[in-house]
Amino acid sequence: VNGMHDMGGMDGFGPIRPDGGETPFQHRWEAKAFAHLLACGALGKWNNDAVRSHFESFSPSEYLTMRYFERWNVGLIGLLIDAGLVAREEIATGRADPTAQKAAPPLREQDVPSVVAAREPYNRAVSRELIFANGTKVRARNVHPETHTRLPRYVRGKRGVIERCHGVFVFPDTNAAMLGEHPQHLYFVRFDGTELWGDRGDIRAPVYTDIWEQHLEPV
Amino acid sequence: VARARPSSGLVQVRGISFTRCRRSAGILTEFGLRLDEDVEIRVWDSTAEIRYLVLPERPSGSEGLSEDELAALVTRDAMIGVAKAAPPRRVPA
Repeated sequence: VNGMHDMGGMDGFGPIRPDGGETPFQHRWEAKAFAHLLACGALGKWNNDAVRSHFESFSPSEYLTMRYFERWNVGLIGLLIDAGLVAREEIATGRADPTAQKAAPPLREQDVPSVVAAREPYNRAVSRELIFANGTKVRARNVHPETHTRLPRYVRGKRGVIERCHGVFVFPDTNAAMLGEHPQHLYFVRFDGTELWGDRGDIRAPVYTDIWEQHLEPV
Repeated sequence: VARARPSSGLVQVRGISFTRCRRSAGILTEFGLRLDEDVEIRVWDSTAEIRYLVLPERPSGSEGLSEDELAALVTRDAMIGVAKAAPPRRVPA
């Protein structure tokens, strides 16, 4: 979806204000938002791509006025409602409906360390014919899916060069919609600054990004 | 935003590379990092589940430091490509 999250190339946000800190959370509630999403993710009702997809459904004004972890909080509520784990009424009243369905099995405290430690690898040990060798000139497809995609808008239709193949990875576009993993090659692609940004492009700075095979075509 | 001298380290800053990759050298100055004109800058936009870390350039004056002493020179910003690893405060004997 061409949403507010896909900001590559946009102007007007002002200078970056480095926080100078080394801690991931600026407020206590942010750590809680982080924990809540991970804990609820362990219920297995959605995957990482589905979470991203949900977060991208906010309107531009909502998206830009929420802090990063605020999106986690608000997004989680939507995910829980969609999964049938929480009713809108319960959110509105702040009171749990005693007759509501409970997640089964619940995530128990003693299981948290192993759940957190268990990584969710996205590479797949399946063999596929390699379509693009290193050094191949490619073009990112000019596609505009109305559903989740990881193909940034600023590369669509642009020419780049295959630097390397990372291997076979889950395809987020289908995985987000729970339509299957469709594993395929993931490539590391280089785009010249001037190809992306015209005469404003920085020739000193090519852009490298990871692109799935389905989003590339030969030049 | 990433930067690299040939054969040095690389790589990405989530969010920054994402939103502002048009004037990379300018963005680095917002972090207080000024690079020589001959330094190649590479912007890495981490769009998949692959994550990248910068291997910071070894600061001058760090010869003879132990692994722990070297590690103490490395900050988060040095590992995301918006700062250099700090030079050691005193030259080891």
